[in-house]
Amino acid sequence: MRNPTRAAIVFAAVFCLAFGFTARVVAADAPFPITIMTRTFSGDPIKDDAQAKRIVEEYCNVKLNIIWVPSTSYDDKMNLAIASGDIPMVMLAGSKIPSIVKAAKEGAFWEIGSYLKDYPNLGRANSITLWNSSFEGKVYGLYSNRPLGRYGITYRSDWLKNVGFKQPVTIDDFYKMLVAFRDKDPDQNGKADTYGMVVTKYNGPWKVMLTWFGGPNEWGEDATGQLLPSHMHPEYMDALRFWRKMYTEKLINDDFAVMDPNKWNDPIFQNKAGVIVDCINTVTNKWNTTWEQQKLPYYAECMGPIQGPKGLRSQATSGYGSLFLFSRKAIKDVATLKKVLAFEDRMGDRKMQDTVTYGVEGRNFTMLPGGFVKVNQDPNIPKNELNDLNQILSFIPPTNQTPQEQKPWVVKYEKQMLDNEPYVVGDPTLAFVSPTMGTKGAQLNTIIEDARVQFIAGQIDEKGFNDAVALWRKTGGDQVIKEFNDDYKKVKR
Amino acid sequence: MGKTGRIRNQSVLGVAFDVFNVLFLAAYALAAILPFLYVVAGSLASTYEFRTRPFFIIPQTFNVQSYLYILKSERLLRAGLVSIYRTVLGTVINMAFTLTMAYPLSRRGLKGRNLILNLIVFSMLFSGGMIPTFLVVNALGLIDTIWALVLPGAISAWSLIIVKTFFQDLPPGLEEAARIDGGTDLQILVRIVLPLSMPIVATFSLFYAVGHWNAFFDALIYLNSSNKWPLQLMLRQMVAFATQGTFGSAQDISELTGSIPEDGVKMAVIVVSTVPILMVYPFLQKYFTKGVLIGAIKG
Repeated sequence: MRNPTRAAIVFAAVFCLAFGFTARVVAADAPFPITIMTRTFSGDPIKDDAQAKRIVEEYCNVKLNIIWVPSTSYDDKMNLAIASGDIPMVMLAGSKIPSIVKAAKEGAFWEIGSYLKDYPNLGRANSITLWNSSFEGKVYGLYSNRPLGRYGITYRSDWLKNVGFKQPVTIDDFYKMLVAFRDKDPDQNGKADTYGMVVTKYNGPWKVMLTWFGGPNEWGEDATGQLLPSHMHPEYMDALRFWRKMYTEKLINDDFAVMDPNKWNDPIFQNKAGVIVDCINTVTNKWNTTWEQQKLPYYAECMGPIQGPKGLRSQATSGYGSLFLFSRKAIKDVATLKKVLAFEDRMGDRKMQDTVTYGVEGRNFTMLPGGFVKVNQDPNIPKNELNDLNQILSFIPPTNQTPQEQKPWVVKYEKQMLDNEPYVVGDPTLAFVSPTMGTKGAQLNTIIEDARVQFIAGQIDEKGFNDAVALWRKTGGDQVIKEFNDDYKKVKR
Repeated sequence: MGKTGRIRNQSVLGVAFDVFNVLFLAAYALAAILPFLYVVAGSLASTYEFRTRPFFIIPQTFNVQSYLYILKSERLLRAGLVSIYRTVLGTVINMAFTLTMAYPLSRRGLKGRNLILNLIVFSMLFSGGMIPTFLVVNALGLIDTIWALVLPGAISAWSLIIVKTFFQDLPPGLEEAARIDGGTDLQILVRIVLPLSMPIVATFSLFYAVGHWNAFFDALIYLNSSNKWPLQLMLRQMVAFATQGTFGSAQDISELTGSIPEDGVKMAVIVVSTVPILMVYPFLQKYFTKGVLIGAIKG
């Protein structure tokens, strides 16, 4: 069992015998060719002959053919693959968009749910996330893991110290912090040129804060157990009033309705604002890394849920970032499917997770005593030795990855994200598909989004917002409610 | 005498108009060139400076890191070569097919001319759509080859009609003279018609070339191997990814750290992908300004 190839063969052979297949099918020594279509974020993905890729191929005894698709146009290419019937063996789907749901219903993909338990790594998939990523309970996709409790507050701790405050606990504390950031000259430049929180036209922060006020994550049960969208819950109006107050008192930027999310952090780096509510890892890391590079004595601190009327609450993510789907056309039979799944399972091993994340040991990273990875930051190492390789991995189980030697703030947010999990509020509709939402979703969302922004900006009152909700219901909302509840009742029993 | 006299005799209103004209056009030119200068400056500045200074033409600290990054990335260099190859090959194919189809269609004697013209106009109004076109290209075995980029759009119906109209307007006397001298159709096209049509050849070569240089979508859908990508596909990803956003639940920034290009690299890629096609313009300029038919027919 010294060399991994032999180990793989033995593994596969034992596996197949156990399932009643002749060993002849798998005994072939040749690497198993696998075609994976996935996305590249960098635009300059890993080279075909890169060492990290070769290590993966040797370890799993496969020949990898990766079709890289730029992430910004991924869905176009994916829809084309679906429409032309030429779906590669393994295809990444960014989310359950209608074309994917339709293809799954028409049988384009293997249902893998019943096989997962047979594999040591894949068997450890999180059942909540599997549910969220399922199609009405049917698991077609192998999800790529993301922390469930990623949302929270990131603030300037040096500012907080300057205004003499402690980390907020309640919504009211949070409000007072924003006021202090506006009034008490937190950057100590003697000018009243600061405000509290940066908000863009991206509605993520709104959804996070809605859960603080006791509102649901997109959809929630009312008193009778019926699922209703967040804007039909009374807490929505409480949150709206709070936002209007923040807006009128200039605690948030007044161009929030049009601000490009790409410029979200600019006011922070210009020392104009001190708070962002979003994924704590992203924001905290971006601020602290930038300031450290510039040798500025600023520091970002992150925190999770806030105490509201219903206690500590925080919005949950779906728990997955994308799905790997297995083509019925390219994977002819169950035996081949099992080979592909065995590959996916092996990719969950520590060595593979470390290789696709950090690269080649000794070149891209070194192992430190204590079980940490130190990434080699040498700018002379070309980035396309590793770029995007992690986009072929599902990271199941996430604990198999060796942690990096980390900055203190990284340790903090990693812990915070785990601490968030008991308080997260999930979206019960994630496993369902509402056909009406598929056809009219954009229009329906716009009705509520516009009304929300107009209410916060003081252009409409409570009645105006209720009119928008009525319009939402009339335009197709009632149908969506019915569709979700029909599905929900089936599963709830 | 006449010319200078006219300038001296200009009215106050005329001078005011000229001044306004110059100022307006200068402002317009500035508005066009400033963003480009900003991009050039951004490609030479540090990331921090780029993020904190709202606008600048001269960076405080020069660094060529971004350009070194591009030079070191084999795929970027390769993509540049692919783009040049595609542009040259594609433009040659475009011009060969457009000219040889437009010329016969410009001759009134051609049988079935109206039917062909109507079919061409039909293709301008109705197209097969993305998926059927993809299926055809796929069935022809062109997927993942350069031919998938240059053959499907070999003739632009719009350009064809303009070139045809231009040919039609050439004096028929020229062709008759050539025919009396014993010229064949092909000789007439190559020796008589084309030399007189240099402005239109230059114009449409440029249109086609710019189109090829900027195209990314066909490369996205028809190419599977990333080492065949043209520059614009990489550029678009590098630039568009940042603006599309690294926020929200779908993407995890911590997992991407390192694979997102620095702002400076993005700017440098824009410069590198824009400059080559800009350099083509001066060489074609003379054809635009030249007279079309000077001295062709006497009497």
